[in-house]
Amino acid sequence: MEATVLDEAELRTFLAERYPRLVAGVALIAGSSAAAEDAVQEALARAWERSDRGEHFDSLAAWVTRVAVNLSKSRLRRLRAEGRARDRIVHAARAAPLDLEVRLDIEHALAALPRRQREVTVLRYYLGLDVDETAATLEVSAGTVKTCLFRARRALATALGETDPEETNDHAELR
Amino acid sequence: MPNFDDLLTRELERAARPAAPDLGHVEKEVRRRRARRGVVRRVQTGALTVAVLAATAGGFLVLEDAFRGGGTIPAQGPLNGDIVFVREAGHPFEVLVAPIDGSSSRVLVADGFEPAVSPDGTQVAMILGGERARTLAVVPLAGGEPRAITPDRVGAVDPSWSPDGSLIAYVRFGHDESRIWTIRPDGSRDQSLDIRGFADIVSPTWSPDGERLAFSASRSPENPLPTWDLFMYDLASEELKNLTTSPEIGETAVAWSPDGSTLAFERRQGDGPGEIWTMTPEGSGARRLATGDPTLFGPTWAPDGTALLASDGDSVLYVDPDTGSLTKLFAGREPSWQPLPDASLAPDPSEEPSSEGRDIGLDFRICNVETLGGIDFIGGGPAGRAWTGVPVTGDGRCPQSSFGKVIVAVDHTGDGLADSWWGPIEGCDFCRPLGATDLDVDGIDEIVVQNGFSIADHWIFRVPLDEGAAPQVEPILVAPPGHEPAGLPAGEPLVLGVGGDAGYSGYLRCETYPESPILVYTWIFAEVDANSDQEVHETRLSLGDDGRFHVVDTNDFTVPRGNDIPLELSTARACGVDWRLFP
Repeated sequence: MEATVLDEAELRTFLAERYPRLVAGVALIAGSSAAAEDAVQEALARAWERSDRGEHFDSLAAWVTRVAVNLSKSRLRRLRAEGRARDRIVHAARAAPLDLEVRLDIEHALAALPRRQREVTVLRYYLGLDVDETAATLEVSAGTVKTCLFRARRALATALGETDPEETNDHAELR
Repeated sequence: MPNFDDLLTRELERAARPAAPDLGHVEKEVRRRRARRGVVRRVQTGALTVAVLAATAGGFLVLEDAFRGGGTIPAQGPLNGDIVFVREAGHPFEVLVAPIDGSSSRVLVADGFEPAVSPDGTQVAMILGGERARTLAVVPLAGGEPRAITPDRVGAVDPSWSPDGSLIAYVRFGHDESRIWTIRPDGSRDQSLDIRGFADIVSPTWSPDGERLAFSASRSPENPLPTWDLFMYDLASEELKNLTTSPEIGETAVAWSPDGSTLAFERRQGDGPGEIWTMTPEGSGARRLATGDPTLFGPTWAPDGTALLASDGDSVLYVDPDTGSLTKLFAGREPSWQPLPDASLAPDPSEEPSSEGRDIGLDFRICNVETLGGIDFIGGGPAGRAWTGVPVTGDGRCPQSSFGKVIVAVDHTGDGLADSWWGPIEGCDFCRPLGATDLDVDGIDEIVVQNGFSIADHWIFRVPLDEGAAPQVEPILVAPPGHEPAGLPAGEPLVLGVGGDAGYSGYLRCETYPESPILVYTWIFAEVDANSDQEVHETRLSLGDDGRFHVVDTNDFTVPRGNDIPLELSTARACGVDWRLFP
């Protein structure tokens, strides 16, 4: 994999190709799209700063994702304290009538997960990272990712009223 | 039955619904954040390339035409770093940084003078010029914006760092009287010494043990040269002693050697040339070291004490301390030589990345070290120190990411080694010890740790001196009932967010300080890109005798969007600490 730096051209490419989806993913983890935008923008600024200092990234996207996910954590406590306000952001500003129920279901289910399970779920099923990429992004082992995914899937299946076929086979290899 | 993976992916896709942001606005925001992080692009230049950035702060230039030879350039020595000096660039004076061979240099500050490098070699105190003339400021030697630490145009001159870096002595120059002041590098505890009756004072310089100040001064309002003498002031006893009393000779610009044995100073008689002399701190054994042609100014010592620097007004000169021979280094004056850490002594953490971390006296090494000195943990003087950093991993290497791993460590005994630590600090990433202040007015400092984020979170730590237990640094918690709407739940460490982004903004100010300090914290939320009200939560906090922050009162209300918040919100400095990010 060719190492990259974040310069003006790379920033524009990143913004056009990856930014909206990464913000949406971090928002699912953090529970706030505003906080997610904040975190992703800050991560990009830090990547740019590091590039200025001559650093290269094996995977710019993975680095920005990891830092943005991490940065969003420091906001969680405050966002929880501002629960009423956050609820308004999530449930009113972004809601559309047709699929409100579905969205609230999955958001509530996600919000009920432990932080780590929420992260691996979003990275795996929304941002499309495989187990190894998810592990590298979160700086945990692949085994941890698989364990978290298993528990998250089970909890989400329960919350969504679905049956996770792999729950019946605990030894199934998660992709 | 649909695959559950596909179901999850589909549900998340429907829930996420990525917006279509204004990418031009986002790009602008990323640029703004990058600039705010104080990034200075360092352009690597080879030796003797063309100078193109002479007037650009942070840029490099080469002293190609400034180097004048005049002798062999001496070896720099392992404890001597770069030289910070001043050069006139049109009307303003630039502060530059260069190695001793002058092979390259960079502009540190575009309009400043009288630089003094901190004992740890990372900061430079200086006097600003231009619109902020005679204001004392501190700037990282690595580059950045100078941070004023005194009120503007206060008449500051001649900064000098205390040996432990906890204080800066400087002179406030007045029309009728000049006085020596000391101030912490963060701008707190700005206070004058009780040294009176001098029309002008120059070059206060600390003894290596930090107990005395030598300086040159004149009691004459016209302060002609012969009226200048050298003085010694004992900080504990406040005793003032004349070191020289010669009626026909002026002695100025004194500098104390690192080993404490010698004072070097400027000496002039009549219209004769300026000379560099040395003598003992007791005033005996005076001898001429060097004579300039036509004159010499301002001796200053190399950090390892093996040489001096001076100036003839045009060039920075290397002065051999044994023979007095002079070697021109490069164009400039007012040199100050950067100390480098002595690897053979107790650990001296730096910000430089290291794959193995640094030993600060704990059972493990730590990485990404930030440090703050001048803290009084025991009520016995500002000899303590605080660090933040990340412990090495099990294989003894620095972890790739510092998030969630940052600890705080303190040296409360003043021996230079950490005595206790606490952590990891939840949510801490780019953390540093920001400042020290006595919030409960018990004569013992608390320390503030800042996380460098767009909203900068601040934790406050203390070292309780309970009898029968070893002092351990710990975060100060919020006493019940706390103030949940402001993010201050009871029983958790107090975390104060200052700054603004993503609809949130936090402010801090101080009331009735120093008699009875009250931190007034205002936390405001307004939904981004909507017409919702602004939710305002004001909390007054006081640090009690039980070592916890107590909510004195709260004030929660909403203000329609677009209306001003009817509260006094923020000042940069509150209760002795400058809480801003990159102030």
